[in-house]
Amino acid sequence: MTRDEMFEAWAPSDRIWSNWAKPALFAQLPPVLPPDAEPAACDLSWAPRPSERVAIIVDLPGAASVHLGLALASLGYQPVPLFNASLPPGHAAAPGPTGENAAVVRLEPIVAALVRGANQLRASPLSVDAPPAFLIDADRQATHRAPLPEAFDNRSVVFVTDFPSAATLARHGITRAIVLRQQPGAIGSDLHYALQVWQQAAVRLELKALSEPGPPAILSLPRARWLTGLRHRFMELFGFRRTESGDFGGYIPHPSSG
Amino acid sequence: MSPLPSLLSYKPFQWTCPPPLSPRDFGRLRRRLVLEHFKWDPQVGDVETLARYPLIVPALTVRELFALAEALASETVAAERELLSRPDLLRRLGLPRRIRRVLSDDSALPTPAAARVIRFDFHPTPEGWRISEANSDVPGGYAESSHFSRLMAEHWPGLQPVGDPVSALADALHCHRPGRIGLLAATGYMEDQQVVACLADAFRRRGWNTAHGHPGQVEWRDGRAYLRSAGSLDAVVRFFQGEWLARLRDVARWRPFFRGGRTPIINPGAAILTESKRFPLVWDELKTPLATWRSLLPETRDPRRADWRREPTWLLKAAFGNNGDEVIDRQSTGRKSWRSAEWSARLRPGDWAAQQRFAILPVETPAGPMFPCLGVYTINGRAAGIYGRMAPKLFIDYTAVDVAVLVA
Repeated sequence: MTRDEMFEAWAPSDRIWSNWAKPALFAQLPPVLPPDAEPAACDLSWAPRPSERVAIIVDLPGAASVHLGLALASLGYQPVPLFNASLPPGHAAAPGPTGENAAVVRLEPIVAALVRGANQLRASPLSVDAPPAFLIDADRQATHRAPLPEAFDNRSVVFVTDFPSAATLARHGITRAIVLRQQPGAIGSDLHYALQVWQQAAVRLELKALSEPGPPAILSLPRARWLTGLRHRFMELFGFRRTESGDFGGYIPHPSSG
Repeated sequence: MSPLPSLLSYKPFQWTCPPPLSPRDFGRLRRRLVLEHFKWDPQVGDVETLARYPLIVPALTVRELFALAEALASETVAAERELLSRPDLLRRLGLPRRIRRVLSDDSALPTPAAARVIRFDFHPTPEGWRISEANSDVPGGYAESSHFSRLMAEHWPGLQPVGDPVSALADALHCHRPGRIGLLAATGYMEDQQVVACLADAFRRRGWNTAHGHPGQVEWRDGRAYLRSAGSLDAVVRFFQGEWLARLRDVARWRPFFRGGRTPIINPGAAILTESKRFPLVWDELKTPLATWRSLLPETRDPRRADWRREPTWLLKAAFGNNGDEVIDRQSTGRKSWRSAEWSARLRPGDWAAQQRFAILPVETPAGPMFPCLGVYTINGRAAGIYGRMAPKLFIDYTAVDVAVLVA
């Protein structure tokens, strides 16, 4: 399958939500990929029927986000990959002794899952008005491990502008959204802010943790801290997307540089 | 020296936008652009950022824009050279103190340019052409001005893209034997990564080995740039704004971008001098003739010398900073953002400039009247192409759409 066919499978040109699919990983398709891990079995009995017009945000780590998206596709949702990160240049090369060519966030498993998933999506086309399941990588900020020195910093954040507006969702009959996570707990501040903008526009938010049985629970997000809100308002207003130092997370210093 | 005439030979109502491509043709074009030509952000919120129709401008309009841009580029480079010998003026540009210190230290030579690229943003107005700014430091828009225009031109027989800045920039290094070129950007941001990926592709096609990194990962050994992951570099592309360099902790890692570096850079750090929106405030102190700049840039003052709080004809512009290439306008900026900018400009007026707003003539498009901005690239002083953008409102921001500029 060519990358063009693969992207068409994930972002069919005649589907409502395809324009929001992020092309970066498809454009950087590596020649060699690890095998896609077998998806873990999961219970989707909580998932609303597509006719109930609910958007789902799948915030699971790595390939699990893709696997869940594919499972939702089999229920009638349109999975929309929002992986907005970059593979390290020369990604086929093995990491060197000091970590060069290594990436902070491992994206290859996600790409492998996207490749395998494309076959499934091509085999079972979705209806034109399928509600969206936005796929993001819960590990996008790699907060649980220290990056290697000289590693390629491909951590990423999600923005309000990565999603359709609440008004666009409403035009397609969607006024409810479910955030799907592995565990209950705090949502990343970037996604928190994006969802808060939806909440302020009367989108009803719910949270479903896969580790917990039962249906999704109501999610009411507190107001972001004043400074965070101001920064994001500027971001939204001006379209700039940076921290003070000009990038996310900053340069990963080599020990010798202090 | 008298300026070139800035009057419009053809008014925007004589420019044309044909009907949009069919959804099928546009879908194919979009897919080629995102998968093969490094346009990775074709959708921002609800805004599809690629216009489905081109903007066709008369050849004479392109010639006059190119002539004006080349005159501006010549003046800009001369002004930078003079400013490097005038440390007394650097403070007035609003430069961060650490950068002022480095640029003022003439014990080291300015770092050489591998090529000098600038993009001047032109707008048609009732009084003729005006520029809103010069993107002198790290201009972007390469994939849009080169690849998008070329792909769009394939659908309009008889029309041509207006130049190809990507090829022109890669060709500009022909005087250097292809070796290893480092492309430096903020690694976490896709809008920057797509630019360096686009340029890296062009350099690789010309025989260069490419290495990617963050500016803070560059070591300087006897003035030569070195990346641990790749080795020594023969040239550097810096897609990282000059004022951010000074936020790197270790001055030895960033000083050679400005002075003392021996590896040539696109663009060397001294480009920050004319990136400042306060550049017009030192014009009267310079011997360099700036007739073209004076004829095209609206009146610009220190905020302390303009009644921008009461007079709606003034805009506020940050000299540098994250939103430095944006305008703060009381009428269109939200109340809280205006208040924030207002306080900042009152507390730190040296970091801001007040500039007269100007009316822009709209272009009729299939999407209704749109206000155009034609960003003309110059590379080593020669005009190389146009990055077209249009917005339904007077300011170009993230709601603007990229439009392929074609010429008969």
